[in-house]
Amino acid sequence: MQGTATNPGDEALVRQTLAGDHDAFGRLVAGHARTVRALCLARLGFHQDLDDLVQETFVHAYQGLDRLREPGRFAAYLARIAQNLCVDRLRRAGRAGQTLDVVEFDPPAPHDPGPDPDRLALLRRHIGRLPEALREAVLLFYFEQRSYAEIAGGLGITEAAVNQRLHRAKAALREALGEVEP
Amino acid sequence: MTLDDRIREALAPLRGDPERDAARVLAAIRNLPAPHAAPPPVRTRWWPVLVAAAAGLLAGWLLHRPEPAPPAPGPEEGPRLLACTGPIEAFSAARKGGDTLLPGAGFRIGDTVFAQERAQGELELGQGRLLRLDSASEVTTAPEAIEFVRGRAIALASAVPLRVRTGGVEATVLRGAAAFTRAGEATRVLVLRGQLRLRGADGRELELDEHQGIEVTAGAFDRPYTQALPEMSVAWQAELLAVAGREKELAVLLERLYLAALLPPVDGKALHALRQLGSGAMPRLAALLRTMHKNPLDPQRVAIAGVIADHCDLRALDALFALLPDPSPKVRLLVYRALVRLTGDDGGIEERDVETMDEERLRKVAAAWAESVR
Repeated sequence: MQGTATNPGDEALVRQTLAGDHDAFGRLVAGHARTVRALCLARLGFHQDLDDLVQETFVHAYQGLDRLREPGRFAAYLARIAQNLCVDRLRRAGRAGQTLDVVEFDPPAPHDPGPDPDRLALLRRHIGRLPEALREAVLLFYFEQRSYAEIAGGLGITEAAVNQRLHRAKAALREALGEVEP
Repeated sequence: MTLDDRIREALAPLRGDPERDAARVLAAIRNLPAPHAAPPPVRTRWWPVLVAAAAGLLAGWLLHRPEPAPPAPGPEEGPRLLACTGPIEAFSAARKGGDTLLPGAGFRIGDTVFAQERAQGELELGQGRLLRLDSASEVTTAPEAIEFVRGRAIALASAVPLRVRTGGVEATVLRGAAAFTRAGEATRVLVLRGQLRLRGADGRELELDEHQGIEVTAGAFDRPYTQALPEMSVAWQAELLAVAGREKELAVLLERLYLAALLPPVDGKALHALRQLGSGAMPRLAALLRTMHKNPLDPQRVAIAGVIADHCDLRALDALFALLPDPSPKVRLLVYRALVRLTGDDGGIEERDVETMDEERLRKVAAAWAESVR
């Protein structure tokens, strides 16, 4: 979630990191790792190398920290880096190693869930295939455990819109799982 | 267990451990050069310098006064995204990263435009020129030509030609439309309609007419490529055409593929193309099945009904209800199963009765079933 507000705690930790305190950066990582993880999940679906992507985001953030003009806006800075890395992954992942005939006539079928006996893994896969706006709402609410107000504030939408996105996401998941709404 | 609980449980393994993340990151940055806080700005008396510079600039301007510049093009005149079925990204060094484009949003010449998985986009490049980009496909824009990087794209030109560079060659769509497919270093170019001129890295030129194609690698013309029904190569654009409101083009695409699916020997390939149309095209395909060539014994009709049943979503409900009283018992069965899957209801009839029930009675069942789910 792209935060817009400044955070005095982050500001102090950024300044300590710039003064050479590695542990301060460790505290920044611990404080923001879950958000970065949720952001990457929302952007990429469920990716095999999520841990690596989270690590890469923070390493990039560290390397460019001296160019961060407003240290209190570390969260927004981090979200931008994560977003760019996700786009880069998406670009590199597309159609690698395929032949012309495969690309022309047999594109990947992302809607096919494939056999999976594990109901939770199947549910996870369906969450990964939700439209991005719905997936983002699901991850922020269930994964990051944010309130409606926090999600609404972060995404710049109303709480009613958050409620609607979650409702639509659950309806889509029920349909994908072949369940009827109770 | 409620769906909320199951979602939480399903996502729990992905939450990770922030402390472990911190340890991994600290280990990774241990040997990197440490960033340093920027030194405080040096206070300089700038005003004498600024005054002198301004005086110099004013004198220079008076001596070499330029002609008034033409007005800058408005956003509606530059390249922009016309329609999309999912996230389309534009990024460049100038943007300092990527932006997700919404329909109507402009982008800069020089930007790389990328369609994510399950997303397709139609780009307007000015002077009636369009570019359709399939999912996981990418182009880089430039003042003179588009650089087609990967995936599948369709370039369209009318009055002004559109130049596309790919695989070391330059393809100029003189008029009409051409499909581009790229895998690794190889690119396939196929003229859908109109005419295209191709220039290789060695300066050799080639003109291609409708339905003619070629494969190129590293700037050289490899081998000719022909496609009896070019629509099979571009079936993927159906969802995008539906979203963009290009009804006429979509109708022609569907009708040609539908008719090809009924006619051997290309029926297998055409059926394969029908499967790529996407859910958004299924209502229209069901309408074609209902109104054209209603031979109940035709196995190809059953095969097409199978495609519709497998790929339809809730948008196809009305078309499926209309198709349920089909003369073919096998088509009815497929449609019935799709309706059960989509509505979670059986309409008050059992599967074994669907094949034998007379058409009039089935029509009444369909009407009542449709009413019950509205």
